[in-house]
Amino acid sequence: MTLPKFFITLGLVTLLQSGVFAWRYSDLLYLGQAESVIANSSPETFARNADAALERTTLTRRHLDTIAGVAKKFNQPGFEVRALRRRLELDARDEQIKIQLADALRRSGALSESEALYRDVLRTSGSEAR
Amino acid sequence: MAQDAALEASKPKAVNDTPFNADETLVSVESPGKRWFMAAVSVAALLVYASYLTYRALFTINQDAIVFSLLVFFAELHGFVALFLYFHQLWHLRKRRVVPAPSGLKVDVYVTTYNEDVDLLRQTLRAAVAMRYPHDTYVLDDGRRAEVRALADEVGCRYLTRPDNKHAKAGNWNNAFKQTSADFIATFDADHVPRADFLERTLGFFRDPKVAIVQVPQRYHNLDSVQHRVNWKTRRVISEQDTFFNLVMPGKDHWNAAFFCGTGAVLRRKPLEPHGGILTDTITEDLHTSVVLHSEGWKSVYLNETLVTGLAPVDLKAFAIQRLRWSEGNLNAAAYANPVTVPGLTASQRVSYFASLYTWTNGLPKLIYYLAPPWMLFTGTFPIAHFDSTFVAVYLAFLSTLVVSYQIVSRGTGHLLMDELFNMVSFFTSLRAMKRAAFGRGKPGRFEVTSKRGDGTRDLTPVLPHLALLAFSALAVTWSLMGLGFGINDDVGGAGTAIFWTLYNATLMVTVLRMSGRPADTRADCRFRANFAVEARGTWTEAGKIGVTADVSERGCSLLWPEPIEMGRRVDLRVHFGPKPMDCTGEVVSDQGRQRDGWHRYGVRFPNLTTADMDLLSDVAFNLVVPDLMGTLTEPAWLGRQWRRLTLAFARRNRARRQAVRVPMKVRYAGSSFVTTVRDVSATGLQMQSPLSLPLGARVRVTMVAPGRTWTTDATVARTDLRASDMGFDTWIMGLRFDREARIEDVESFQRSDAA
Repeated sequence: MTLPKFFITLGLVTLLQSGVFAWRYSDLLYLGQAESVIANSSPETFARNADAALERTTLTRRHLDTIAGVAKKFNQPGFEVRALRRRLELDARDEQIKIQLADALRRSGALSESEALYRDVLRTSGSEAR
Repeated sequence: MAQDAALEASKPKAVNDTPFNADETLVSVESPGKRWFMAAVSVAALLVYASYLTYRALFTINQDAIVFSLLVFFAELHGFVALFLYFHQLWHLRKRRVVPAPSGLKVDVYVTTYNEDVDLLRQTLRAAVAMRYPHDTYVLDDGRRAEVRALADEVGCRYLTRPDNKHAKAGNWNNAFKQTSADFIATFDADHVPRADFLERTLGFFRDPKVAIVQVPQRYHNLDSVQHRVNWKTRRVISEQDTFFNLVMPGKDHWNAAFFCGTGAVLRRKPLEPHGGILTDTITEDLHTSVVLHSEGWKSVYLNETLVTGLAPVDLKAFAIQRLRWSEGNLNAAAYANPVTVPGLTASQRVSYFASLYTWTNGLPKLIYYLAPPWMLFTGTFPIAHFDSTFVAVYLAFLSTLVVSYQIVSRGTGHLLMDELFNMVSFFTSLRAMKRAAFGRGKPGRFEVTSKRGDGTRDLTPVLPHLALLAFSALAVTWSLMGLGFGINDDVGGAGTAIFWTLYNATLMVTVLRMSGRPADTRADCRFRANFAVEARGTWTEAGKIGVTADVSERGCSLLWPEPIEMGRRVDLRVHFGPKPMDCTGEVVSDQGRQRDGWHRYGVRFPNLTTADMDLLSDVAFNLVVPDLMGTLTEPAWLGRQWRRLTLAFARRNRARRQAVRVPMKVRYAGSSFVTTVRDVSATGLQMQSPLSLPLGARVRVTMVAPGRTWTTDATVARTDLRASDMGFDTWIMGLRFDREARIEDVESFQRSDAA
């Protein structure tokens, strides 16, 4: 082994690693695009990637917001609800997220949970709270 | 009756005929006030560390990555124990007051060898034979070489060998032990050249009948070795073993726990006799023997004087072999004489010896520290549960306390970065040793002789673990940056911290890789960096032309010459080795071109050296160069360094500062003249090493020479210090005061001509 050989090997392994990275995070790389770009893709492609992403233990706020936003456009409230629930775990006091989630729950037919969440928002930030 | 009286008279005098306790020679290095201060800093630092660990254990263990978190916590805990042991050893630094050696002691000197160069051995044997105190010198040759036998006959020592190599160096030593009878045995490795007064300085301690070992530090004259860092401008040298020999051993001496280091020591025969010599169960017979002797109630003495110099490993391969032997042997020694449990040791001796063993387990926590940041980058998991501002504040407070206390307790001579670097160098060796000690318990390891001269090749084998770590770290950083860049991960703070930590480790790894390329040269012999004036002889150039050496070795030199010389040309030279100039023929074998200061630098081989010439070169090295290097390459403590930096920054610019230079110089005094080199020069005077004694106030005319220019002035001898030598190398370090202050441009043009 010589140093030039080592660095050449390291370069090749880095390239290989880039491939692994692209494969490992293909769903997140897809969701990293602008919402308008994703919205131009097929709902099935979105559903596949969103499902894979939501299986992950950690997701960034940006990815969750993207999933929720695009799912709403594709009228896939199931993904929207899953994404917004995860989003709420990250920012439990964010009223805007609660309202979005309550709205998504309403659209998905979970009316009682949606109502409970609306009431929660009203209780904590609405006139009743004051 | 008369025969009995004669026999009695011929017996050596008993060394304990006058009651003497060697403990009385222990002198505190520091005042009581300073010792209290050091103790307070030590205790405070340990309390801070303990508090930090408590905080870590209670509040920051990450349950989501429990194994990873506990591993990092273990590494920190290991560091706490290491710090406690370090501070314990430095609790009370002591030095020794030398007592005169009683006359009439019977002393044997053993020089052990296996496969070292005969030329190398020649230096050691000649120096061993030349030690002043009456003694017999033996060369113990495990290589069974006819040329070593011939060398022994030539230099006047006795040759001993044996039919096998059982128990390696210890077995070789014990073979001689059985065949000799002196009460005291001085022992040296083949490359360790003793000073003429070695025995006189060490034997006096044996007036205490309980003293079994007197050890002196191992210092090295090959400053281009892998374990040295030298700044030739400031003339500061740092060795990886400085802390051990300058702090730890004097500290151990306080606890009567300084141990035999295998070379540069004198041993008493009596305590070794029941064991048949030194112990052979492990490959570090020195430490093992010391534990056993201390447990039997014997004393040891550490005399921190440079009485021997040897060769440090020149490359990482040799370094790794040496450290693997030490670490494996030391850890293995615990299987035979565990200092924690062996009866007879005091509590402090146990702690001190345990510290010596514990050091070699450092590889495991270091591996955790090296793997943790890339692991964080790859997985996104952290060993800390809440990486928040509270943790950062606590950690920074803890870290700064640790660094400051370490520097203080190390008496300003701690080198954290150097320590970190050599931790990186040695971590894998330590892991290998731990594995061997754990799984090969009871089996002595294989004794591999440390290469004294290296093979001049760039071998990456010793750094393969570092290459693997470097690759792992680089891939982790790339992975993390891709994650941040593509928005996969938005934890910039956590990733940034891990990347910073990874890059810090990677810097150390790259430095280790660079070290693997040392030594840069391929000359087989040790190069002694020294400046001797060189004068042209014969007709090959203008008569009286002078140059200077940049370094010398046994077979050649680096020559700085004021004009070009053709490659391959043979030139007649006179090298002014102080009072013993050597006339020789040099062959120009390499041309390193014209230097910035105008000198042309050449590699010159001495093809026709006689044995006497080579002995002269060896004597020059060990009587002129090495003492000078050891005397001048001194490193002031931290405060001293800052003060010097400050004074230099505010030094007056209208006057040439005193600066070390190495330019040749002709000196005329009372109708005669001689050639020498200038050591340093300022606007008002210069310092030179004179082969002649000149009286104070003597008037001389000096001419300093550099390519294309000379400068002559009259001066007066203002100071003269004799550097006495046993081998006819008496020299005088003289300070000359110029009659008139030199102009900046006169002197600075020479200051830029710093040859070495």
